[in-house]
Amino acid sequence: MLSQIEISKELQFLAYLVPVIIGIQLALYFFFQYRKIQDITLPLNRVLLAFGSFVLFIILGPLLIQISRNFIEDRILYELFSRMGWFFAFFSTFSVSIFIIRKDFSIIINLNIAKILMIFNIIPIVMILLVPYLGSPIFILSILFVVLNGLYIIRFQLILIKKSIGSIRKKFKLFLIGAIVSLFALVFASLVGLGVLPPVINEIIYFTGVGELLTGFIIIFFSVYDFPPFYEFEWRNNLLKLFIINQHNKSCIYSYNFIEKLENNSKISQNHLYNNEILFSKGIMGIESIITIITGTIKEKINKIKKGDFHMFLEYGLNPSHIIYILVVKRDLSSTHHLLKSIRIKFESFFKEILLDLEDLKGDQGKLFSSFEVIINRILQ
Amino acid sequence: MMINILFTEFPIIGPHRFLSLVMDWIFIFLSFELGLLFLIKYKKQPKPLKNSQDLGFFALFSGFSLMRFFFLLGDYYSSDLIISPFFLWTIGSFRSLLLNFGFLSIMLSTLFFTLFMEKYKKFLFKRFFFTTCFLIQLLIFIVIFFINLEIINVLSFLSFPLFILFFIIYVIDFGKKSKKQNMLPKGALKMTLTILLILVGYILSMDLILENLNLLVRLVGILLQLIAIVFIFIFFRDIHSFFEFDWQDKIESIYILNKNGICLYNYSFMENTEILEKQFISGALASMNIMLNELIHGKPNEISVIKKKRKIVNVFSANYITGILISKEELKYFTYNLKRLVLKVEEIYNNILINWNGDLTVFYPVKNIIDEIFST
Repeated sequence: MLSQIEISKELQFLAYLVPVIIGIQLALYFFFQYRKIQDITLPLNRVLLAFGSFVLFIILGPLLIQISRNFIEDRILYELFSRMGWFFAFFSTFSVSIFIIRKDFSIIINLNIAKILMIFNIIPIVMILLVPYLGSPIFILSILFVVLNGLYIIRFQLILIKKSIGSIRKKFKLFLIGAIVSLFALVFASLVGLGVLPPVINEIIYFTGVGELLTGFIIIFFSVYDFPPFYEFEWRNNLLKLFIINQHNKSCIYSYNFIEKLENNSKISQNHLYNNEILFSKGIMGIESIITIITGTIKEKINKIKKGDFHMFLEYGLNPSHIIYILVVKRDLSSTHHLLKSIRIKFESFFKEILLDLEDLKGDQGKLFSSFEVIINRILQ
Repeated sequence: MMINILFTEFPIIGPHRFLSLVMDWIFIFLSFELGLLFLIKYKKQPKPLKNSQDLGFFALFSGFSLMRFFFLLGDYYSSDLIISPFFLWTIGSFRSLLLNFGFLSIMLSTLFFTLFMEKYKKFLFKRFFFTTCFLIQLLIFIVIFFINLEIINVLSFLSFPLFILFFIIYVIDFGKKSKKQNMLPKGALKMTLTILLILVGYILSMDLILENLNLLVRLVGILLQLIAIVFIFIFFRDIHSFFEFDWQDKIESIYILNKNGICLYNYSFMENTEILEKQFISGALASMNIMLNELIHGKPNEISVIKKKRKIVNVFSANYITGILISKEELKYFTYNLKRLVLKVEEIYNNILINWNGDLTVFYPVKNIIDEIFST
């Protein structure tokens, strides 16, 4: 492996190292973004892990294949590197499949087809271990399963773009464009790998492929940059009302009616909910006190109240701690917790300076905090 | 024309060549990326607060990367056959020509680096002292380049002490300012360790080592530099501009007025100052602003700056309020933050300001907004 290597092969390898470094950094960035917004209540955010793994495996696979083809003379080492390379390449589509077979996506794709294709994707992976040599026709034929699964993943992404709205839609669109551009580089790679082109053309095709891969990765980078939390598709229609209560004077300092704003077709009438904020806030405080006395739990706080078709989620302020954020929703979606937490963080950040002196603040507090509507509208976007 | 071959040792060959080449290449690419990150950081900054220190670091790291790129071409892909004559020169080799290009890149980048740094402050003797030194050094280098290609290895050593001196002064100065601001208490120590890593790494990857020891030592050198580059990025990622350090001594007070000239809130940054009647001052300032608007019909949401010896009055009007900042010096930092303050107060108090009932107590938290804006 460490013997003198042909200059042209060396240069080709150095050129390929650039997208490899960027690809690894990109994959790490996907994982970092996932960690940044990691929340057990947001399982769909694992899309970042799926995309990150896809980028990592799709770049490592061809890297190992290239190392084995160009620099390894020892037969055993060659086979090992080569097979590992193919394994990674096939695993890239498999890692995305693990994500898309989630129950949450049953409303947009047929999960049975996705599962069958995922199992089919395992066949070429197993073949890597079984076939005596990688040029075997069975192995080449089995690659078709990976292609099929890849096409289904593209279809899934197209549906995802169609069904999602707002900034996350733009991000999915960018990722798809970037992935398709990068995958086209594989066509160039295959042409070079087959060795059917004359020497100079071969080099031109190779470097064009590397350039294309780089372009694709740069587009993918813009897709992951500032990636928003991935909520369930129906999260907007699930929202009913938001109340922000000051526990000290038991007053509602802010309220927002999502039904009015979203002009929802929902049959749920507003009359089913308390529209009197003062009564609501005092009622909630009363319930909290009663439960605390009955259960003898002073430190623990109520997080959720369910009544008929309504669910009330409670989030307690951090700074100051005597503010309660209450979100009334129709269904208990896993993203509701994250949304309420996000509202709390944004409220505390927007009014950070006001909240520091809240107790000394005289005058109409409701009027002051009503400017939070701008932020709520932004969240809904 | 007769060509005489005098001496040969490069390009590097042997079993470790490929590994060393790959590591060198990764190092070049990461240094370039680091430079690029500083450029992106610079581009992302708001226009009035653009910090050319980031541009300086961009010049330094991209120049460093370019230098290493020329060195890579010289070490792995060109011969050090000393040929006579060699293009313009009496003697020379392709390798030394590439090494010269490499040194030219680092000297140019060092020149820009010091220029962007000294733009903000004096480091030694007088402003642009180091920039002038590096410029002279560059001119000498260019003259020697046309006379003798082979002398470059000796000359390059002479430029190091000057750069190291500049960097030490920079780190000490930065350390002092950081201490004053309670920022990065261990910053200077970390930076010193990183510089040591770079220096040791650089020495281990020099020609002298390669000729006397073996390529594995050079590999260790490159590895040390790779580690250092990661540390450097972490250290400089959150670096503060010099002008952000001394603003406290130059600001006096802030007034927030409504459109009728009533002072909604005022804040003095100076201790033990004679406090005049705030409504008197705000009334006068509001009248002045009205007169200014009558005299000069500028665009809405524009900053006005009125200068008097040792007193600068910065004015910014939004839809419902006007912010006035009085300072001793004109700084972009003040105008930029005054605008931020006025827009933030108006955003939060929007519904109160539309129909204000005369209650001033509601504006007490503006002090926290001022603290927040002028501390970041």
